Amino acid sequence: MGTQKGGKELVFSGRKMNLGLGLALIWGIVSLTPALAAVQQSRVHRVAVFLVGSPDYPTLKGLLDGLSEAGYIEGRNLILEMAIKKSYEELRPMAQGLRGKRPDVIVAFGETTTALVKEAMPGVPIVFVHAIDPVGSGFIKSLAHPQTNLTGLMSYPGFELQVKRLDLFKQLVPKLRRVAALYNALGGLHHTKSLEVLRQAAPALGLALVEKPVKSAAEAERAVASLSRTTTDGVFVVCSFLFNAPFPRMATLARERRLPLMGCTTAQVAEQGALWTYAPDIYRMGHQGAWYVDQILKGAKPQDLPVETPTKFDLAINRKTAQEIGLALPPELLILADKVFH
Amino acid sequence: MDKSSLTPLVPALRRRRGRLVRQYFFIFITLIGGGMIASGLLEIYFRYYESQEQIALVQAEVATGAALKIAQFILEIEGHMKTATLSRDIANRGFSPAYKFELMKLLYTVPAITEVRALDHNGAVRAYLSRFNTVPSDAQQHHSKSASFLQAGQGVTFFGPVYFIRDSEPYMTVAVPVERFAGSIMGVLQAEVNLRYIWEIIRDIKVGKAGYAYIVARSGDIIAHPDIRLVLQRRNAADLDQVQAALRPAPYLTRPKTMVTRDLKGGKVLSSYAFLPSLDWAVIVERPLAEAYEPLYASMFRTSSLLLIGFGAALGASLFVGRRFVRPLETLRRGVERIGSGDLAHRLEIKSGNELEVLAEEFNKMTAALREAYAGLERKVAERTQELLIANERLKELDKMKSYFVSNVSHELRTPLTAIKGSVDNMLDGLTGLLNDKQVRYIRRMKTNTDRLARLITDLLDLSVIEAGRVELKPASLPLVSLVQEVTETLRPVAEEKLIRLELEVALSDNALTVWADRDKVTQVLTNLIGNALKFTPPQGQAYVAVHKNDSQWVRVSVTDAGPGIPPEETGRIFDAFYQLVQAGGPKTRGTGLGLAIAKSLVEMHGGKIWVESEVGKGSTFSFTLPTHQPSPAGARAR
Repeated sequence: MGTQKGGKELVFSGRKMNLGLGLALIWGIVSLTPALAAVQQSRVHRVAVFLVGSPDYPTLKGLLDGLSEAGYIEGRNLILEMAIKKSYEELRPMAQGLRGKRPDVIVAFGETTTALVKEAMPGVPIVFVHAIDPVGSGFIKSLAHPQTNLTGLMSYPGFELQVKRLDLFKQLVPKLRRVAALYNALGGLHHTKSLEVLRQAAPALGLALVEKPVKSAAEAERAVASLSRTTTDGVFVVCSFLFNAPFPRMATLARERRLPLMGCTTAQVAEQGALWTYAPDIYRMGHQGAWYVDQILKGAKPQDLPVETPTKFDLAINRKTAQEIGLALPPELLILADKVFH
Repeated sequence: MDKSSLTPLVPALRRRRGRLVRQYFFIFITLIGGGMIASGLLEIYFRYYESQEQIALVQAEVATGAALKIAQFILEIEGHMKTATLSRDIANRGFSPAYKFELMKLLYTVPAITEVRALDHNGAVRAYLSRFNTVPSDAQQHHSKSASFLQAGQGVTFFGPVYFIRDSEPYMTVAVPVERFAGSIMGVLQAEVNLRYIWEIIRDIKVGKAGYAYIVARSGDIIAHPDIRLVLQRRNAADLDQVQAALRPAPYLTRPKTMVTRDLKGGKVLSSYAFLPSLDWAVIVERPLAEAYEPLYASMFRTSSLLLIGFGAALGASLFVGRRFVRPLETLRRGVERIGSGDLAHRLEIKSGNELEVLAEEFNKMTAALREAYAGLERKVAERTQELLIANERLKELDKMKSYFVSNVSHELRTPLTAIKGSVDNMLDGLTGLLNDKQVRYIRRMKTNTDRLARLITDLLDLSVIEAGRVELKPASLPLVSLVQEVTETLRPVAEEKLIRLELEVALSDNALTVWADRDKVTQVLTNLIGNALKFTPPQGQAYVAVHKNDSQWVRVSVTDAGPGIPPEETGRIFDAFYQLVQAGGPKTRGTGLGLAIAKSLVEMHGGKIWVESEVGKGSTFSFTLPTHQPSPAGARAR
């Protein structure tokens, strides 16, 4: 009768039920495993870059490489407004023209450019690269805590580096007595200060400093062209972006005149024929500048990002140039030079 | 079993059944589930603490490893500095300008050193080299009193406290003795080490995905951190628990410890540390707690899941077993219920394979026996009923035949009797000539007996007609009191003959009482009862008739005599036909013995009731009731 069937059914359905229950439990636990969903922010960022010089400047390369490594791809999530001009005069109207576009971050190369951009677009976060005296120029309150909308990287720790360079020049060219010092006459206070430090240090090093104020690329070339071995033993450059564009010509002129010329970047020694330089790794500086840009785009405030200062400087020497100008390099410096180009 | 008595039992049974399942269930859960949970919880508990210890141990190892790397980094700097002091120039000529080359080599080899100066035994700067400067800022200063000079002058390497340049970059002074040869100290080589270079070491120390290491100085200042900003901002971590614990001056704390604390951002971290006594620094390794304990939580989740599955299975099994045991019981209960309610054909089908099945089988046997017994009984009852029915039919036939016979015989008897009676009457009337006294006496006796015989035959005829069901009532609304008066007056001569006072008692309000009855039949009943009363009441006695309204439907008529009374044992039979009261010592009353039987039949035909109340020696009261109105079809019962 019905009861018997019911009893048997119960036995079978009981087994089924237990198996089913177990499977259901296992399935439930497996499906509970949380699925990870990464939500990519697809906002397009606008970054403006201001540089006096040429697009192949190593720091700029470092910046662009750093940005792409951080995941910023132009046209997709990044709009780059590149303002690269040969002179400050040309850059100024571009800064004013960009005012309406309101970039998220501005990267300014050099202190003069930074001042120019800061004036043209107040309030926009600025990452400076190659600043010399950001506190003295009023960009920031202190290196550890900028407390303004500016932050970035310094070129070197202090004005003493100019003296260090002068000293190194003396060691490289032991006969060095009369040094022509080219400087950016249109630059800010930091150039004046650099010059002041040099003026004071020169006598102690047994050097006579001949100051050569320069206001344009052409003037820079003319200044080198006006020099000769009879009046000058070497050409020192108070580094400025002003000299970027005319530098290859300057180097050629110096070699023609068998004058030892100091470069501002390792590239100027390696590729453009300057005799030597004592400079930080500026490609790395540009790369580090990209880190600042990334941080700011991700929401960090410039005032919370401390300013970095390079701690290592490389001595780079071009032996070919030395041979061309008939200079015998001291072996100690050659041995200990970080880079020697032939 | 009666259905109404079964119904309240069912929920009680259900409740009992529910309790049984629950009992099975709880026993199972307690035994299996309880054991599982207890062992599972213990497992989780022990695994939690063991894993926690394991994780802490691993992280402490990382901290120790990091500390070793840092120490190695500093020792390397110290080693390079010591190498720089081993110069032929120094041995021969002391500090000469040529020694500067050794310093250049040192700066070339060790990028972290930004500045190095060689001090003579007086503490005066004899050689100086910097990455940024040409002249030391402290050129004029003697170092003879400085701690670095004093300690290194004793032949012990000096590791100075951390200081910050431009309030941003951490630096440390390291000083080593300059020896002409072992034991002959001629000066001190002092270097300023930029500690930012430790960043490269710290950056590469990874603990899991988000774990990191950092270094704090005695002041609590962070001197190395993967996030270089914290260093450059000169963040102080002195208020963190792990930093305080790491820097607590206690020698045994050189052993790494692990603790759960908060990091600089306030997040919960698993923190371990190692102390570097020579530098007075602490290396802290932190890992977000959630990440650090992830494998632990995963393991606990796994164990809990398995426990849950096991518990679920145990639940299912206990339910299954509980139901398996209770289902046959439920079948048994339902079956017994059905059998109890009379369905003896029902069979209990339980295939549980245990005692319950045996029980059900026994029950089935019992039911079968019961069914057989019932079947035999029913057959016999049917047979007897059939027999009785036949007998009853025969009896009815016989009764009819009897009535027919009586009616016929009575009729046949009355015809000759009428002839005899007529002749006797004629003889008494003198139609046959004058009779002498003796003749008159005999003929009178003949007349009396003839009358009696005629009355007997009439009564017999009446009774047979009544019993044969051939009497038809012709009811109408009768004025009862006048009818009673009429009958009373008819019989008054008989009463007066015996000097009996015959009275009628009617309440004034009952004078107009009417009854729904057949006039002749009521007259017959009244005549009979009053006649009886006069018959049994001794001379000069009293008899009376009373009419009462019983209620709105019934009227009661009572006839009371002063006769000898009827013994209680006889009152039941007094209305039977041919019954005559035997009176001890009293004169034998003459009658047919049919009067009361006829009266009873007539009253009952009206729907009424007749009865007697009597006491021996005091007389009797015969009462009967009649309806006041035509009875409704439903019929009202006499009161």
